[in-house]
Amino acid sequence: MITQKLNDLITRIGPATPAGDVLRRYWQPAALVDELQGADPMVPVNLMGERLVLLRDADAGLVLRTRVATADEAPTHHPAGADIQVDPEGATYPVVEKNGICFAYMGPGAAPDFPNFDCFRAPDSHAFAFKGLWECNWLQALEIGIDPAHASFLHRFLQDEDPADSYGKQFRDMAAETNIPITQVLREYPRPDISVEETEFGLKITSLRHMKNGMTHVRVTNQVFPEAICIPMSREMTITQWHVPIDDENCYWFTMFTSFDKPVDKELMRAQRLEEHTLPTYAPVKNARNQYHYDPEEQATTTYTGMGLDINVHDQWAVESMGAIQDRTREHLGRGDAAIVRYRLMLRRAIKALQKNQASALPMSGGNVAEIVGPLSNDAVTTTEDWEAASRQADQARRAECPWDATV
Amino acid sequence: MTALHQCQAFEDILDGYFPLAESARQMLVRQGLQVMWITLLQAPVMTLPGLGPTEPVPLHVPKIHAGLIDQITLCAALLRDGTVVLAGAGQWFWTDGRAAAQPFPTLTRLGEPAFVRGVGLVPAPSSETTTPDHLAWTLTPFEPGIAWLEDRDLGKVTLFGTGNPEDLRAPLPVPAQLPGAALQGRLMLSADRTPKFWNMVATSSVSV
Repeated sequence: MITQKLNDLITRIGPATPAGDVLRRYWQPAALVDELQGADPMVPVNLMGERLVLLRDADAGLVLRTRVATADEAPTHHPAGADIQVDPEGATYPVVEKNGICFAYMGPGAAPDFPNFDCFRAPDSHAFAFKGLWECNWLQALEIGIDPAHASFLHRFLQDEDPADSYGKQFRDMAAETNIPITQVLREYPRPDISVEETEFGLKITSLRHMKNGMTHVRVTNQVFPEAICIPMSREMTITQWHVPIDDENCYWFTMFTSFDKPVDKELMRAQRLEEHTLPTYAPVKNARNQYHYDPEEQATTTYTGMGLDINVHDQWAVESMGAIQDRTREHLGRGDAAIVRYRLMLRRAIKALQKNQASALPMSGGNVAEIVGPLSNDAVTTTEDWEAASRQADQARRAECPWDATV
Repeated sequence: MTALHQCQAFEDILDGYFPLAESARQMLVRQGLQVMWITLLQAPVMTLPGLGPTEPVPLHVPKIHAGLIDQITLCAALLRDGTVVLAGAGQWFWTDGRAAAQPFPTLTRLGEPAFVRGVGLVPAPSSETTTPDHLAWTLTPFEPGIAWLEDRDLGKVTLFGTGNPEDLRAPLPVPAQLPGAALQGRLMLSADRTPKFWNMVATSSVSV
C-alpha cells in the first residue's frame, strides 16, 4: 500500500509530471491509420493530457499539432474536422506510421529509433491494428496485462469452444501442438509459477502451469517499457498492446495483431471489433453504465464474469472497477504480483533517472534500439524439465516457417 | 576448527507489510542463508503508528507515515538465538517531509514487496559452532559496482555487484556493533564471474 503522493508519482502523466516525462521519451500511439480519412484529414487526438489534432503538414508529413480546446472538454471529445482550430502557439510533434498505427513523439530532443519488434517488421498483409477506450488510468490498464495468474479466473470459460471458431480471439486456440484448449489449461491449472527477467526492452514474464503426467504449460509474455505488452494470442498470432493515456483517468489500448502464418483477415478482425465499439471515439458498447451486459445465467454456465466471450471486456471491467485511478492506499500485493513489483521498480528508477538528468539510464535509450528484435511470446506444452528449451524451439520453429523474415 | 562457507548470489522478492527485520528473516530462511547483503532500490516504505511489531497490516489503515527508499544496501544476519540483526547504509525520504537524517525506524515496513539482488553466506554444516553471536561491520564503496564489507571480527569480505554501479553504493557507511561474545577468525572470499551472477566461495578459520 502506498500513499496518494507516491501513487501520484507513478500514475499522473500530464505535462511536467514525473511519470509523464518518462512516457514522453518514447513513441506513443496517437491514432489508427484507419482514422485518417480523405486527402486532408483532421483527426482530433487527446493524448497525455493534451488536446491535439493529427493532420498532414505540407513539409513535414503527418504531425500532431495543438488544437484549441476548452478546459472542460470531455476526455474523448471528438470534434468534426471542420470545427477544429489549430493553436499556432502550441506544440507540434512528429508522427510516424507503423502497421496501422500513427505514433507520435512528444519528448525533448531527437525522436528515438523504433525497436525492430515483430509487430513492426511484419508486412502490412500480416498486421492489423485497432484501439479501444478504457475509462481508467493507464497504469492499472497496463498492470492487468502483466499479471499472468488472472487469466485462470477472470477469463475462465466453463466450456471450451471449437478452435475452428477461434480466429481473432484470445485464449480460444489449442495449447501449442496439443489438442488441449487453452481455456481448459487455464481453468484446470490456476496457480502458475511466475518468473520475471529483465530484458533490454523491459521484462520477460514466464508462467508455468504444471500439468498431469509430468507436462508443463509454458506461457511467455512480455512488458515493453514503458506501457506496452507483447503476448501470444494463438499459435500463429501475437498481440502487442500499448496502454496510452488520454489523461490521468482515461486511456486507449492500441493493439497490433501480428501473424506469423497466413495474412490477417482484416475485414473479419475489424468487423469483430466494430461490433463491440462505437465510432468515432472507439468507446466500448459494454461499459459501467450498462453493467458490461452482465448476465447471471451466463455466469452460472459459461463464463467467470458473465460479461460475454470477449476477454477484452473482462479486462475492461476489472480495471475500470478499481476506480478512475486505482486507490493504492488499499492495495496489498502478493508474491503472484512478481511482474508488477518488477515493473514498478523499473518505472520508479526511470523517473529517478530523469530527475537526475540521466536519460541514458532509461530502457531502450542506447544506440542499438533498432537492433532489438522479437520478443519471444508463445505458449508451449512440454515435459517439465525442458520447458525453457521447448519455448525457444517453438519460437524458432514458428519463425523458420514464417512467410516474412522473422528471424532473430 | 575450519568451516567452509558457501557464498551464493540470488534474486528474490522481499515481502512487504512486515517490519523490515521480519521480512529479512523470512528471506534468510527461504534462501537458506546465515548472512546476506541485499540492495533495495526505489522501495516504498511505511510506519504505522500504534501497530505492534507482530501485528499484521489491517485492510484499512487509518494513518501511515510513508516514504521511499532511494537505495539502501542492507546487511542481515541470523544469529544463534534466531533473532535477526540489520545494518545498512543508503538514502531515503519521507513523504510528510520528516528529515531523512533520522535513524531508519526499526518498525519500518515495506509498502510493497521489493525485488532485491544480493549475496549470501550459506551456513557451514557445523553451524552451531560457527553461527555468530554478533557481527560488526562497515560497508565502504571501492569503485562503481564493488564494495568492501569489512567485518571486524571475521576479516575483510569483498562483495561484487551485478554490474550496475547503482546496485552497490554506500556513501554513508554505518557501523553496527552489538554486544556479545566475539568470534576469532578470518573470512576470505574469491570471486568467479559468470555471465549472470557472481559466484563466490568462502573459507573461514574459526577458533572456538
